[in-house]
Amino acid sequence: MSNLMLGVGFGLVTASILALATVPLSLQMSVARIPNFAHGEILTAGAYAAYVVNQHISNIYLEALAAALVGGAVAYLMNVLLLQPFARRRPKLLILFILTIAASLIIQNLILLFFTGNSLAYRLPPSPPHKIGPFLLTGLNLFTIAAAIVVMIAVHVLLKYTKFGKAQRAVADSKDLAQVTGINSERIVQVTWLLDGLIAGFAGFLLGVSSGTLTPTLGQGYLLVIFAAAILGGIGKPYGAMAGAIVIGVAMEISALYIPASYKEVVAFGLLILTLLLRPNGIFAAPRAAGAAGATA
Amino acid sequence: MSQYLIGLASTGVILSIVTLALNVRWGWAGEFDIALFAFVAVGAYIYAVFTLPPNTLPAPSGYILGLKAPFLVGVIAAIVVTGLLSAAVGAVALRKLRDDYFGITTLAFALILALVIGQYTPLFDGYEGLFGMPQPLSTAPPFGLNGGNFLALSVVFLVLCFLVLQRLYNSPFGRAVRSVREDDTASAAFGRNVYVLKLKAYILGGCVAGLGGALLAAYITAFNPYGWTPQETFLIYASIFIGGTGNAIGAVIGTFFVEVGVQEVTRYVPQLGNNASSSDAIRLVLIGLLITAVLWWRPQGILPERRARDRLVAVGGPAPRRRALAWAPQRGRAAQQAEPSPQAVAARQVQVEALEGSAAAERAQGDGTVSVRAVQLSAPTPSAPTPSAPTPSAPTPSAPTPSVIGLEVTGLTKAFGGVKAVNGASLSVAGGSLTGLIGPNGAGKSTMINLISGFESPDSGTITFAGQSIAGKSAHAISRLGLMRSFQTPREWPGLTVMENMLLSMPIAGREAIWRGLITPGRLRAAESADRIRARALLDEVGLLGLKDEPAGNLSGGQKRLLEFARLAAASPRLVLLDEPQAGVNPVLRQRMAELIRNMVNGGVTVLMVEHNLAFLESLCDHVIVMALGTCIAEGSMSELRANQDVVDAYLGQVNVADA
Repeated sequence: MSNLMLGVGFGLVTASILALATVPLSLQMSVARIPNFAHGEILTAGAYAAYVVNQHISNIYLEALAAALVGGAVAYLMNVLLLQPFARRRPKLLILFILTIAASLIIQNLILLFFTGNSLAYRLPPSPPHKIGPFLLTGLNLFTIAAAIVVMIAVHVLLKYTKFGKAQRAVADSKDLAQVTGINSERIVQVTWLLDGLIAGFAGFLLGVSSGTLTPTLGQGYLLVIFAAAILGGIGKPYGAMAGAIVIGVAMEISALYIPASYKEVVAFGLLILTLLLRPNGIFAAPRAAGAAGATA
Repeated sequence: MSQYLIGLASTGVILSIVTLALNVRWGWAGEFDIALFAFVAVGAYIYAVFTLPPNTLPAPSGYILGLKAPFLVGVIAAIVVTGLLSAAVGAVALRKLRDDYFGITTLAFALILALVIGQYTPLFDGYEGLFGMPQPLSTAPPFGLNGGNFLALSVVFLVLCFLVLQRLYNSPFGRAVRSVREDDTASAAFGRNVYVLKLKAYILGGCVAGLGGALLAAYITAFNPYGWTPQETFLIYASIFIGGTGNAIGAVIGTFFVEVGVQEVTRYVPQLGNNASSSDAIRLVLIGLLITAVLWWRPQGILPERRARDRLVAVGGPAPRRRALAWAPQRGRAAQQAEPSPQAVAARQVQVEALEGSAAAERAQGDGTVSVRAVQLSAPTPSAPTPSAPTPSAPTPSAPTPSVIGLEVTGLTKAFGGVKAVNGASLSVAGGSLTGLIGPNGAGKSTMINLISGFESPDSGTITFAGQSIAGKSAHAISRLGLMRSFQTPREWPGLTVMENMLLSMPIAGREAIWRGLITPGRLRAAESADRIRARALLDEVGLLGLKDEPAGNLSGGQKRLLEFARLAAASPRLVLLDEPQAGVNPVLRQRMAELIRNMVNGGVTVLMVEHNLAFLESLCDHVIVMALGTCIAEGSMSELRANQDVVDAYLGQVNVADA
């Protein structure tokens, strides 16, 4: 039983990182609607930026800030330089998806070029584990959970109570309709990408320090787990993404108690496939046929 | 040839086979499959465990089988197993998924497979991988011992693969698969089982990938999961994008460019500092930029997909002497044979030269005239070829013939969330009639059309057509019964030529079987010549013959409408549902379309037409059904309906929402 609770504790930490990585993807997909294959690379870029700062000044806040800023820059530039020019031609969704794959190749290998493929050790000073309720959590664990809660609340406030949030939801509903009512849709999309990158870069920092080593494929290895959480919660629904992240994170950590830990990703991928097949709009959506007229069952 | 060059050539040749595999899935069928390299890997492993000697590794390491089978057995086993695995993965992933989700699902499958193979050592020795696989002919003349023999063997496989796939690509099966890529809804509307076609293409691609994997394993003589990442699949995609999506020669050129050319160029980039991966990194950045550049400047690739040429193969005599004859151009008169359509209501002499225009030059000497029985859009029309010939002004109630079939709908209900789009609607359409269906926006007319044609399945109610219940049947099955439909916006297969659109609209008649395309392409082509002649006659009638070799997507809106009519006629339907055929059509064309619809009815086809243009409707239909708020509220002639207060309230005046 206590093992199970420990698993839940680790699950909450994993879920926090996962939520921080998933919510921005879902946010972006609600507005720009692009299944971003390079999302993992934003995390990687954030992690490496934090590592560089760490080599000079060991300060967790500065490291986190650097990760967020670099992640934000990468996502913003990817949209402005690559995706937006293509999106103006109104291509098929798949073309944009393929472009993000190209972007993923480019970013990942630029990192490989500058930082080599060797794994870099990235550890914060060790802190003794605290016993909190049934859980056993380190300082970093607690920081991770707290950061996730703060960011989630911030996103909630932003979406619900600010003018930007309102405009953002309008664009998410219909880009063209928002445009004709005087909202600069492209601008909203740009800011959303920036926001996406800021949060994802920060998530990359947490992913990096929690795994302890950095490689150029750090984020990509995590990408499908992120997609699993996003799709489970319903793509384009930031709140669903939080819930999806908790389900996937806890499921992975608890499964690691019963099956070899190396298979825990299989659990996430399996949940992903099941969700897509049974509830393609996420577990919180009413189950109905995925395709409109035109789908042939 | 030096060993080095032989190595480069072997890599290029074997990976070309892999690219051809992806070209089937992505280029033909439009399946964005990210798992491709997993199938290559499985092919490699299966080849390995079939050809390796029995396992002597100590537990927990090891591998299964170890049959020490000959090369060809290993290759065939690899093809069969990857084909089976493709069937399993495709059967799950191809079910109703959006294109991008399909890609993500295949990626998830590939990663699960990689994880399991890497972790579970008794299967294929985990991350250690397998090595020491036999390479055939490695110790025999004639090309020396440095891999030349195997290169020659690989080239033979590539050429074989290429020829087989080209044959299938050009066969009715290949055309049907490409139609799914262009517009799967239209494919279903014309009787194609989209899911099965996609699955077949997925399996075919998987088999070819398995072959590539087997050759790869035999060439490298070692394989482990490290050499197997999604990136490998993306490099194959880069080859296709750059070479030309859907073009097999382009796929080979692209492979040599990406997998050999770019690799060799970046090999000479000096190593950056102590970064052993720097040339790899530069190569992949370069390829990422190349993909982007190609998609921006030349999305069709270096060699674009070839446009299908419309060629006639004349057939001599009632029993064509197999392939040899069918391939050879025939002199003199050739009679159409096989499959006379029951709808054949008129015959006329068609001067092939007149119809073909310049296409006639393709044929040897161009001196043959072909006598055909062309099924026309028009029922008994004067034999004058001009379409403007006068036609009967009103639909004369034709004597019921066995082919004239009506439609019966009772108590049909369909809800979307809380909205009951169709709510207990009943209607009946008399066989051979031209019936109108009108009603305000949101009355449920389009949903009704979708329900009858199987694009939506009803919550309750019955639909009877041709003596059987069709409610809830799939769209392609209903279409095959002869119940066809049009769409509010014409749906053609935009990337395929007008002629291909016509051929795809004709009854399938079992021609799309893979084995037929593979084994008897000549006979298929001969049988299809009759279809082509008929298609030309139909296109001539709507004035599109000159555009037969253009991609249908290039036609104007009005031309697409006319093509739609020609396609419906080609399908030889028994009942047609027309969904606002007048939408976006200019007045001159409108008259032409009225004629076409009349001719359709005179030819024995039952028609149910949704239309907002009441004058048009009145000039054509003797019987009109009115829908409002999901039910049929009245029916009769237009003059009767004008006197009906309910109809005036619902359609001509305001809908009283409170009644709902």
